[in-house]
Amino acid sequence: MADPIHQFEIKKIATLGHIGGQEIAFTNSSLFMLIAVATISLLMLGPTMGRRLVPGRAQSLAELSYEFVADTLKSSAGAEGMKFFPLVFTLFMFILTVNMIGLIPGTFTVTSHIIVTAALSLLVFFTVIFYGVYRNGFKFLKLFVPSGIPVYILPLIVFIEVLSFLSRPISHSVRLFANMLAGHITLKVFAGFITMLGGFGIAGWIGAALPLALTVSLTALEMLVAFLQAYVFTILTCIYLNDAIHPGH
Amino acid sequence: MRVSTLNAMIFIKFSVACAAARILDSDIPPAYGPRGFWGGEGYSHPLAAWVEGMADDARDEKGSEKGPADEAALSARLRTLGSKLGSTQLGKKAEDSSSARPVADPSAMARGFRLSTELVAGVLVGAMFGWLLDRWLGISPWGLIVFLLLGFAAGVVNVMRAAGVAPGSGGSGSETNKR
Repeated sequence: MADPIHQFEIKKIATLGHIGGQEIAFTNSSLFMLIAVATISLLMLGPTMGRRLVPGRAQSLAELSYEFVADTLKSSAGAEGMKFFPLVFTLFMFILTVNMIGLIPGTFTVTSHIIVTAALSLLVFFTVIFYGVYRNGFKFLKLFVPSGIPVYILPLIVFIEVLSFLSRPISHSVRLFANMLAGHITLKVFAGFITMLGGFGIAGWIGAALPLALTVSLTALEMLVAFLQAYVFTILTCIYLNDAIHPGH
Repeated sequence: MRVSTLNAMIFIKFSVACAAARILDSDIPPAYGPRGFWGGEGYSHPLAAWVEGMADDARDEKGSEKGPADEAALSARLRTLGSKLGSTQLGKKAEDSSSARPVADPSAMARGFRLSTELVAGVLVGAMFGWLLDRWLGISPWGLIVFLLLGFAAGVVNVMRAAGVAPGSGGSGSETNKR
């Protein structure tokens, strides 16, 4: 039976150079990131080159994705949050495209590695900290001091708030990574059952119909999860950015 | 002959029943399955109310913003553009705000997963912090014990916030809920 973990293996394609004895390699992960970026550029730049008042199919796709992310951002971070639209839109489109490309059999799912999702969520985390301090100065620390708390339990609350703040990048990244990893392993295991049962002759072929049907329906579910996780990542990014813009609420 | 008419009658009855079933299906909100599984009416995610609240806050806060000059200019441009867009899409906007925004969180599994990761992340960060404190300060088990408990509390706070439940502290509890 095929190894269900095998699909997550990082393979080196080319060596770019060395930094301090550490090899910098162009891997299959980098390749699929590049493919995702190329796909997004094609989908976003291509149709919007010749803009038309009545959009065609491709242009309407680009406009829909713009409006979707813009609405999400405006509704959770306010009109001022639109300053971060490029960041949020890039994150959403990148994660969505990478997830969707990963669903094509034989491809590599970039977001199934925690290092990738952790890098994305740390980017959001540090953006929140730096912009929050830059915009609000010391008032940013009001984030950790909820108003209306009695003084005698304030130290405890501050500790809890700080820990809660620090736990954000972990839950932010683990959610996307674990969903992708678990989904792809499940798909692979059920697909493996088909070939296993197929080896038992006619009865096995009949029995293999069940895991085949399950694999098909799981693929549909995975498409939903791929979109949903991209959306959840985006809306949490918006909520965290709202904290940077309006701390102390 | 009789068999075929019977068949036809059965077919007609069946199709009528199917149509009726479809009408019933569409009229009555599904009583089975999780509530509002596919974004059914009557269900609003706690996050939605929370998010709406924040959006209101943002609008209130607009007057008191401050920052460097270029930032102000940028936001002013954004605002003029926004008002222009708003005037062109007035009808759409009004419709949008009047009807409750459909929340795109249809999968209950995703929600459950979100809540569980929030709890686990809190505990993990607490444990890590306590362990590091133990190593740096040499206060062998105490840092881990105290910060594991604090981390658990932080995880619970995370979960309550993510679920939109107002955490303790007074009747309103909206101070922390809005964040």
